[in-house]
Amino acid sequence: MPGPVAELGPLHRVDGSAAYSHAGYNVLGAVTGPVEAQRRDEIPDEAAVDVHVRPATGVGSIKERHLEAIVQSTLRHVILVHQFPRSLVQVSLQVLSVPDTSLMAVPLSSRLTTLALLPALLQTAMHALLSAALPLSTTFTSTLVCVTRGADGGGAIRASPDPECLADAASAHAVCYSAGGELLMDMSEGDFDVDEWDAAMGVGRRICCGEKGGRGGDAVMRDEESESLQDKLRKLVAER
Amino acid sequence: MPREAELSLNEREFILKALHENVRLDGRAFDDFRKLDLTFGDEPGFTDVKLGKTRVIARVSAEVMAPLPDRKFDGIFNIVTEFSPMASPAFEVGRQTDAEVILSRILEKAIRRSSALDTESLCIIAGSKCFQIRADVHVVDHDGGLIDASCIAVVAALQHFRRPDVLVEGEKVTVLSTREREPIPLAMLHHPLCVTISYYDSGAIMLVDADLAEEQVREGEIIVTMNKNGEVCQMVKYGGTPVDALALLDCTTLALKKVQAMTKYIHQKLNEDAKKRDIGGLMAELTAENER
Repeated sequence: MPGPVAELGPLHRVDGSAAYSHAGYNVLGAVTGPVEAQRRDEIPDEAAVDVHVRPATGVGSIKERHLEAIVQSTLRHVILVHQFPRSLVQVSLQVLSVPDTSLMAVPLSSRLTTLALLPALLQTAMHALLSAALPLSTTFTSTLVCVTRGADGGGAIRASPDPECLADAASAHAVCYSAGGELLMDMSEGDFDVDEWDAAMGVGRRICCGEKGGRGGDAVMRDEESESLQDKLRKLVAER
Repeated sequence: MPREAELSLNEREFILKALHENVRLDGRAFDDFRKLDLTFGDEPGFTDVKLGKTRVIARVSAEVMAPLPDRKFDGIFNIVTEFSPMASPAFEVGRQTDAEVILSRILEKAIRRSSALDTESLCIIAGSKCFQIRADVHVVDHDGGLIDASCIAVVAALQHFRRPDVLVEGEKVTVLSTREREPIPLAMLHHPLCVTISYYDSGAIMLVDADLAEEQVREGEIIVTMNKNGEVCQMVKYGGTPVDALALLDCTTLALKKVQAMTKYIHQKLNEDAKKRDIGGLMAELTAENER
């Protein structure tokens, strides 16, 4: 599977923007800020972070609101909001396309499709924030990891799985790690125990930060090259 | 939200003075469009239109639904436009601006009410099942000319889209997947396109495809929607200073030239894309489309 492709600054009316595509997910992100906040959004001692997720087709619904809430709470802790009291940082994420699941025998549950979109949204938001040059406490990267159980009970861990693999998986975890290797966010779905979770986090961490932290299951499979997402991010920004 | 930055008096005067000397700031002729770039996505019905710095993405999707009770033999066709802060910080989520209302109304009249899409062909079982075709217009970058760009995006997306074929056995309807049967293109009766003409000095100066700065200093706009055969679908002038009736006629001749050029460009791009998809030249054999 080809690695993620990102472009910084494709839009010209906003302060920062990024186009990100990985594993069939295409997302366009834009950041405006810090700008003057409206009275009702104003927070006295910090900047308000406003996240909008818009689906590829149709109007936003509960699923998008849920994703917005997760992305918002992650970004709020990364952006140095206390430096810009009473202002607003607006993040818009437009989903352009998601993998086609219409040919699958068993359609993915809506909870899994929601979860699978999350890493792409977080990655796009991070790229757009870097493009906007907003002061951040750290950068972060995010990936999706899923645990597949074999017939003998042994587990296999896969990163950035395709929809078929995701449908077979016992559990899926969207993880987000800071540049320092700290876990910023984890959304897990499905049936798993502590050991499996621990192993999945290890793989997720290695993909995000490239450190030797993972003690995976029986067969740890990685689709990525040796380069971690963090390295890729760094390289992209350096090129700019 | 911050308001759209208004041009300063000096900038306004500068643009107008230049126009009086037959010069546009970007060096185009008065009847020139900005560079049009049209790309299609991997899935059918995804188009990305760039008109200068303006960028609009259109997505067409289909769903099986019950038809409206008073239109039993027709499918449903909707165009959804929503501005996001991505296009310009002045756009607020959840609050419609005038520009947004005008855009959706113009597209509605240009494409839906001119019956560009044959909705009867979307009917599966009269009164109980039909296709709903939905065109989502995402304005991603705003530098004027939204109406023209959105119209190109929707019309191109409708031509690019392929809906799944259906199998009807009595009351039972099976939607065939892409593996079972090649999806079929939508039945379009004609391809209307919009040309927005901004005027200055009560119609003495007419500009085609004004950018955002030129839009802010204009006296008014005339939107002409027509197809390549020269059939005018709509002609709109919302307010502004009065324009001589003969000048309006000139607009249609000007628009026809532009529409023909754009239709040709869209057609060429569609052909290029079709060639790319036609691996091994099997498309002619696979097609499940009925001859009209």
